Amino acid sequence: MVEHAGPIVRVRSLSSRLNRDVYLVEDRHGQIRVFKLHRNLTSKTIADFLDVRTRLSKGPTNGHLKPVLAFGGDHSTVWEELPPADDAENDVIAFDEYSPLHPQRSNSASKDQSLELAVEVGFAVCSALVVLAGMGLTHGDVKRTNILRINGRWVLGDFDTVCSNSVENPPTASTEGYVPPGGDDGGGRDCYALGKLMYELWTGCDRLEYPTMPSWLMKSRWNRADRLLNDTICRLCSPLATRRLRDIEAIQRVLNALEHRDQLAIKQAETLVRSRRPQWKLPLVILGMVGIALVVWLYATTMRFELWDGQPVVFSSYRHPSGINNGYVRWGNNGIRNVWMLFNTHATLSKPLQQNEVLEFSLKKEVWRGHIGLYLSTTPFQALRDQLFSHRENFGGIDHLLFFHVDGDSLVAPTIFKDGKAVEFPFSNWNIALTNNTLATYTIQLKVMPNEYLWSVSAGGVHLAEGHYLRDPSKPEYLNIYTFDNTVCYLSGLKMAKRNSD
Amino acid sequence: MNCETTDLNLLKSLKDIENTDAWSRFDQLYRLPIVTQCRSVGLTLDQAEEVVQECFIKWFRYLPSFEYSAAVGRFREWLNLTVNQLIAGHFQASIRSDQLKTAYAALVRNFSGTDGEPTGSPSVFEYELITMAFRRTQAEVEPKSWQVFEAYVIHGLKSNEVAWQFGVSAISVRVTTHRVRKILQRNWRLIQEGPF
Repeated sequence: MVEHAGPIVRVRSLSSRLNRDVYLVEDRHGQIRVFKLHRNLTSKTIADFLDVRTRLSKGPTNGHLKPVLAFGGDHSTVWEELPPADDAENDVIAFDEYSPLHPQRSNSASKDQSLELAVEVGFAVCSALVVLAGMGLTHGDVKRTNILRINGRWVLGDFDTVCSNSVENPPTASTEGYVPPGGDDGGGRDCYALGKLMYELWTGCDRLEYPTMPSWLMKSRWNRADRLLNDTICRLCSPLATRRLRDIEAIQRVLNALEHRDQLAIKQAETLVRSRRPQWKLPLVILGMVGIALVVWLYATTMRFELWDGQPVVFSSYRHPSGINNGYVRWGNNGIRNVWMLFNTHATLSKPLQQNEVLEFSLKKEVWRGHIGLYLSTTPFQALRDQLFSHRENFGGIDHLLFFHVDGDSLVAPTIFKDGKAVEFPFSNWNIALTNNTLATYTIQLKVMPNEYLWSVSAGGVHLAEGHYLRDPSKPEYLNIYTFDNTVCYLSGLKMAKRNSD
Repeated sequence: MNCETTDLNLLKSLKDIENTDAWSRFDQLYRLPIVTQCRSVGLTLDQAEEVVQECFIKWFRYLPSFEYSAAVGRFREWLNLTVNQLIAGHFQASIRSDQLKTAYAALVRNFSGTDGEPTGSPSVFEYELITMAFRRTQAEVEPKSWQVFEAYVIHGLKSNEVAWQFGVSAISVRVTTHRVRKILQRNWRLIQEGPF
């Protein structure tokens, strides 16, 4: 080294660590030079040092790697000459006061200035790493103090940990906060450290504070570039190695877009940086939404329905503001068969009646007071917005044919209501075979003929009455059961069959 | 921790400060959990080693005169408190502004279930505990999720403002915040229950 440096006028130690010293030297020509010495090295380490320096000095450069001006070594000591960096304090290097300039966010810097510094330095480091990667090398110790300004450009220096990226155990410096959690190989480590470096320069925070954002930055309105830089840092420094961005050339493209504020390039960079959700997530979300919709639909269409001997039936019970005489429905067994017990309630078979259908079931009125009945309507009672529980002429205000009606203990003639007014039921359509005031169980059979309804009423096997009325096949009609005025009705034994049309 | 209950024989042996075997066994049992706890809240290895030293100095002074009584309180709870207080010392200067203090205090009250109660300000140790939980959570969640949480809860930005900053939806801000808060609360509790 002495041979290379020639006669030395002045020497100043810039830094001294175990077996490694950096000297500022003024030669006889008054030139300021920087030499770095490594002592007590093994032959393997010396060979690695010489190999890396040879590759660095012969390889391509893009001006972002600190040049190695000369290097050499003997038994256990090696040296390298490096260009002096710009002075942090003076325009011209002052030998006694010299300290190299490292990137640092000024406290007075605006949000945009901070971003510019972070992007400028980040791009320089990234470009240096691309060159190293091209030579098959990784840096291993990217950090703020290893970045210097030489002739107005930011360059990456300190090649002590540079090694081939094929080395199994690279000699990395373990600077706290620049090392990815769980460790990483040289390339991944460099990318992680680059993210931390940009974080420090952008936010002014210490790398150990990552990912905290300072208040001044959080409270200033971000633009697209801020968002992209933050996303890039987040991807570089993700705690999960699998989510970390490691493609150094891709990172360079992103930083280039940010540096030049090229909107098209920024848009492409956003796509590159923003981690896409795993592809299975979208179908899963859609599936989930379909599932929820299905549940809601089932609830709206089925779950509200009960089954009466296999047929869906909807109950609408009377509700009083103070809860007086509120209607209810109970499902139980009378010792012989299952029955529905209704109190102040309308029940509707939810499927409209079909042509040729034959329905048969039993009704029993529990007490003398009140009414029970069966009616046909084109509007099912439960579909009414304002359900009105009242006497036959008024309930719900719906048009209907009340074809079976027990008032007290009397079977009374059918009635028709249209637009809230009674329409005369043809006397000839209703034949009473036997007048029998009873609270016995009535059995009703209803046949849906092509153009009319036929029904018969019996009790205890005795035929009581029968009726028929015109049917409009174009209008679907529903069968409703009516229990009103504080009475109880038992429904049981629904049978449904199709008769042959011929 | 690999000892489910306090080893009373070991405790008795520790009364003799010359008993190197006992102290060596104690070191073997208790050093690693302390370091793990320190690292989990973001202390460096040097800081963790410092905490270990401080713990052992404290225990070295106290244990020879220690009388074990299960009724008074579990030995391990006392050890946990000692360790956490010493770790917390490293976070003393981290709560700088009044705004941060207010936000931290709200979280402490919320986590300890004293929301709305007329309680005083949290103690310095409680502030430090929540800071430790912050560090542990930061290492666990995605950086952006943490930033969203911090902007909404600590910096007090509105959900639509946070959404703008990070280019996400306001609903996503609330969901992320809720998720991070849950993790934070869990870590806050775990720290107090550890390292032993």
